[in-house]
Amino acid sequence: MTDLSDQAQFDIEANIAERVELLGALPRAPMAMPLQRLEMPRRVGLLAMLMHLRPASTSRVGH
Amino acid sequence: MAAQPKDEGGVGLTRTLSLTAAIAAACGGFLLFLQYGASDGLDIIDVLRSALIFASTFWLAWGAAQAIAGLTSRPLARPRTTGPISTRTAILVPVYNEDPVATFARIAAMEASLRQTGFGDLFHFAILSDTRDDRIAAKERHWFLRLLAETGAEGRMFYRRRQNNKGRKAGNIEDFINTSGAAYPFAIILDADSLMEGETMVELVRRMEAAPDLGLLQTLPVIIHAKSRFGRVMQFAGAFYSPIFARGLAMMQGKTGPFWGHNAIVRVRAFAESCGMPALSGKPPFGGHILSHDYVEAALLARAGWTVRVDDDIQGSYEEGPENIVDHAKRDRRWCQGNLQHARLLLAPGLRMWSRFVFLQGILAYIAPVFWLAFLGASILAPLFAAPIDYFPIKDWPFPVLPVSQASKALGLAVGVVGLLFVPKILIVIDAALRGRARAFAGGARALQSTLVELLFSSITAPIFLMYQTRSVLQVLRGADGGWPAQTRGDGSLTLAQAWSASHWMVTNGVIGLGLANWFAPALVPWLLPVALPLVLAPVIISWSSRQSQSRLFLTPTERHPSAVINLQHLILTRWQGKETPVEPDLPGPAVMNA
Repeated sequence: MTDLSDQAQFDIEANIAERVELLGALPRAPMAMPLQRLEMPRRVGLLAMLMHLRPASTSRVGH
Repeated sequence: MAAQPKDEGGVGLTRTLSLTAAIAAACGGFLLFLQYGASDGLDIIDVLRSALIFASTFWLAWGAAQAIAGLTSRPLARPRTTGPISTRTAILVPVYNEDPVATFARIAAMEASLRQTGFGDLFHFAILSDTRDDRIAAKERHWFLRLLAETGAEGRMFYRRRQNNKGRKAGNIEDFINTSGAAYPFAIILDADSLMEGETMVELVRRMEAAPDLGLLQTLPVIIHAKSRFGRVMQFAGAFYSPIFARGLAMMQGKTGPFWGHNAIVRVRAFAESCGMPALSGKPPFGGHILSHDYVEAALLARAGWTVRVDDDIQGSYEEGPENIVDHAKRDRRWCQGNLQHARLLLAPGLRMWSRFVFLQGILAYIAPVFWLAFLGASILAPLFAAPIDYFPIKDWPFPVLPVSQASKALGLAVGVVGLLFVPKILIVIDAALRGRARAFAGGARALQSTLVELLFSSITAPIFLMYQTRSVLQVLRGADGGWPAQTRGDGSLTLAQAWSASHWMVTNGVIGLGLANWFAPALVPWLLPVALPLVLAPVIISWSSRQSQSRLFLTPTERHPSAVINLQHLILTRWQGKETPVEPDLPGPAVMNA
């Protein structure tokens, strides 16, 4: 007997989505796709090293 | 198999000859213009303009060399195998906010065409939806059920919609492989507007089965269903010139062929092992997801030792193209960003040298128009930098020395540039007439007329594309991301108002350019008119060219005699749209012919 209070049965879109999920599901046969390396690791160049040089720190203790 | 030199030495020779010819032409252009510019004294602007001529001429000459290489060979007479195939193949149809009725009608036609080959059970369709619009997604589900009901292909036809479209199309394919890749040794990757004969798909599988080192086999898709003036010109150019250019490309690429993102078959294991696409560091447009992933996937397959090949003799592979200049420019904007992004990959570890060169070619294709525009701009402003002419350069010599006119050098250069653009196409017409290929284009006379009008049309529209491409490059360089707009398909006609809103900035630039030239360099105005006039008239040209074409020119073989799958698609689509069906389906014809 149809339960008229059950609104879900009238939701055509939901029914279609359910059927599509049931009938259209892709076969489960996983295959890994490892990420490839495309970028070179960043290297610190000589110029960059020189730019980052700081004067040797001196202790503030004393005079 | 395409006409590829069998040995790497032959490939190397073709590359060397083509490159040498292009560099020689570029050097010739450079020297001619330098002499012309130096006639009134050499200045920095002359050197700059000569350098721009070098880069631009190199690009034109490289294209011409490719066509001439293609004209020197024919597809190899390959013995046809008609034996059975045994490999299960997935046909991937990524969709993104497309019209489901049109897309699914193509799938239904391909499914019917495959069944007629007798190998239908070996082919499974996977509709991979990345659609963001819920209303379109609902239509997709509805039409998928109808597709299943009509084809009876339950268990061979699948549909899934991703919750998020991470990685865009490349991510969509990757998601399929992660879910179902192990079930299929081969996968044919299509676009939503792709169409293929069943026999063509079977032939693709045959060739993959016959060559275990083949990682990817690309077909040369032919544009179909063009209706507008612009669309039909592009359709004709694609069908008439592209096979020759593609053959030239095939001769140069060796085992490092191209992937154009669709209408190709891949070996799934090779693809999975080699083509996992990382996002690039940094933000778009140069960082983030790789937009033009297909070129990168071809390079990665080659890096891993797989052969990537384009076989230009395979027929029965189709796609649709934009119907107007604005839609073409929108698609080009995306391609521009994708190609410029490849600058990040020029030094990617382990790539073949040819793959790096392909990336460079892609970048040049978009930078070259900027060079031309910069050349024009520099020419307009050149008089500002020119030193006054010294009529008495020799001390104590009482008679003036008049500068020798070098206008003939400029004229020679102009003739050379026009020649690089036109001669390859004219040679293709002659070749087609001599070898009988023109018959399929309604005869040699009609093909010649079509080519001449195409040359005129492409000359008129070239400045418009130059402006669109320059704008795209500048947008990318200043960091603007073009996003992932859905492609506009269908009628595509534009009103004058729509064309105006898409091109009024060109009109402004054309008028300003002409005004500046008239002010600073009046002698340049006649030279500038072929560029400036189309810009001033851009809205009219764009609107006019988007209208339905009634011309009897530009006939292509598929337009004159649509193949079986095209007829099937038409039949199904008209029925689904509730229209009459004027075309009866034929049985699929032979999909592969040796030209």
